[in-house]
Amino acid sequence: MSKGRRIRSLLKSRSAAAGAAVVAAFIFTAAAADFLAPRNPAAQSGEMQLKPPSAAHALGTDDLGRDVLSRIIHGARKSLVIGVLSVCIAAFIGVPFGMLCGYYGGLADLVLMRAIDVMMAFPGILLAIGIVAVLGPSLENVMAAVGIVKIPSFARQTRASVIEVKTKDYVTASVALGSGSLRVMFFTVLPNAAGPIIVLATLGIGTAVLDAAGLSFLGLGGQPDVPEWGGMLTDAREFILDAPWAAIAPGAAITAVVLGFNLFGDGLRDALDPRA
Amino acid sequence: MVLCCVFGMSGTGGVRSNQLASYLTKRILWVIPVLLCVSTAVFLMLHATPGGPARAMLGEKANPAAIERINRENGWDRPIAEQYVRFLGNCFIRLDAGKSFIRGERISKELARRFPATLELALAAIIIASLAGVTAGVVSAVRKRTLFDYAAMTSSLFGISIPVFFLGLLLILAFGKWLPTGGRIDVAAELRQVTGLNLIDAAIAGDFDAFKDSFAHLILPATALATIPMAMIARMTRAAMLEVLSLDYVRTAKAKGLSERKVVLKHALGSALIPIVTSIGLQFGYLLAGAVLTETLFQWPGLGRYVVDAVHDRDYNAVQGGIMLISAGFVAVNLAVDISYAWLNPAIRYDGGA
Repeated sequence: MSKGRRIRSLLKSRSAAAGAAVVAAFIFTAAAADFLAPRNPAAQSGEMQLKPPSAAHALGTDDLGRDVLSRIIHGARKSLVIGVLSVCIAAFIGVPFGMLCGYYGGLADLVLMRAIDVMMAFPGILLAIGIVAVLGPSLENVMAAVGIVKIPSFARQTRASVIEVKTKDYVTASVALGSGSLRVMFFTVLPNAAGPIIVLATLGIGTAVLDAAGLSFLGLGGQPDVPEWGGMLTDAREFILDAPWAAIAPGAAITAVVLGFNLFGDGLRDALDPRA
Repeated sequence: MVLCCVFGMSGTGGVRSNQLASYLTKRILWVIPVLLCVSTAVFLMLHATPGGPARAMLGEKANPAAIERINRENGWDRPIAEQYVRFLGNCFIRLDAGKSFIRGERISKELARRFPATLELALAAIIIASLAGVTAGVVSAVRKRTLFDYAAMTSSLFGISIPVFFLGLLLILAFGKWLPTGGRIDVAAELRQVTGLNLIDAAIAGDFDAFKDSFAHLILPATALATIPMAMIARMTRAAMLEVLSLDYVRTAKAKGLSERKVVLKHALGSALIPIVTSIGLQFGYLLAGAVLTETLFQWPGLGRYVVDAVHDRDYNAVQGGIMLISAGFVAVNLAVDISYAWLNPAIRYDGGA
């Protein structure tokens, strides 16, 4: 399938296009938060506590009288950073390992893949909780934990793709032409094996946002001065019956973003892998 | 693969029963290195805390004498190799995780008391998820590209995207007036603990009020916990059914004039069952661990919440004990899934490692 047709097939799928729109809106909100937010997200007000949505506060106010909409908009930035950085942590460690294993095989492959099996014997969220327990509760450590937990899936996917690609004729040709191993790995094998890894990364940002919100909900995100969706939900939980908007807004935001990345990721997979 | 080398076994060739036996042996033996690595990781976790566990517990400005006392009481002043051996002994031979630093109780006892709570919640959730997920998946596959199919697949996408604690909050908001939203049981009457599963204990005791009350307490948390596995099982069932429905023998069965109901339920679902059962088993493993969020939201006195509370209290012995137990449960469930998969599926050849 040519590149043009792939992109067209991606856009033709309505669900993938909807996912792409949500992802684009999310990134835009995160980037332009300072301009989009109607109020200062940290400004407290004694009289305006737990007020329902109104003209002045489109999504109401929280227990400290802060504007929920502005906090959601600024929270987008935090979520995007957490999602992208934790996937980067996972990819920067997982992809090279997977590539070495897949390309060279042999004993190193055996040992590393067994190590990955062992890592996968830990349930993800528990491993993340353990890591935060050691490092101490903070958003940065939550991000690191979510990233570390994702390393095995990146290593496995990369290894599988590399094993498939390395038997192709153009790889043999490149080796025959005298390219060094590193050159073959990075310039011939990796670009052709990248499709499934990109899909994994796209879906991974969604699950990273979800996992980080979960850890933050457990109170492991520390006490950040910046608004963060999972933490907002935790704070609003106590007032759920009096002020449901303060909890529904961040919950809906997380759901929308994760759904967007899932739809977009699924669409990418269909476009990049004609067999699926 | 590594086990092939270690034990000098080769899965290729030979009759199936031999292959199966050798696969099962390898798979069961594989649990040993896994548990050993898991326990090593949990052991090292304690010593990776910045400044050591005693300082992490007491804070930056702690009195050196107090740190020394805690180190001595917990044996943390011993050589690391000795601590490691003792830790392994405690994990696998004495099944003892020591005393809780904060509450002073024996951790193993507390874990044993809480395990049934998590098990009950996970079992209830997996039952809901399997019934709803398999039904939705089968109907979606049979009525492919109909409104039902689209609706079911859209909701399953929602199911894996919505945070479980948010869904739980929405359930509390919607049904909190009629159903209990926290804890396991209200009834003051003492329920004699036999299995630790309140529903079953109440049924054994013939205590109808306790049964009704435990059941009511289970509904909301189990429903919230069931969403992700339900969505996964529905998708898996649909995919497996679609594959089977396109096979020749299903067409033959239809051509023979069998009713659609019979073809779908007997012929197709029968052979699609293996991947479905496998995915249910795997989801159950995740439920045991993933109940942390649900337990926290619904104040369910289970293992997950115990670990999270212990993390907040920096009660490291309790964190280690809790993580070890949940991980061991997860490893055991995965082992059971792999064994039943091998048992059920005659077409698989085992020439790889575990």
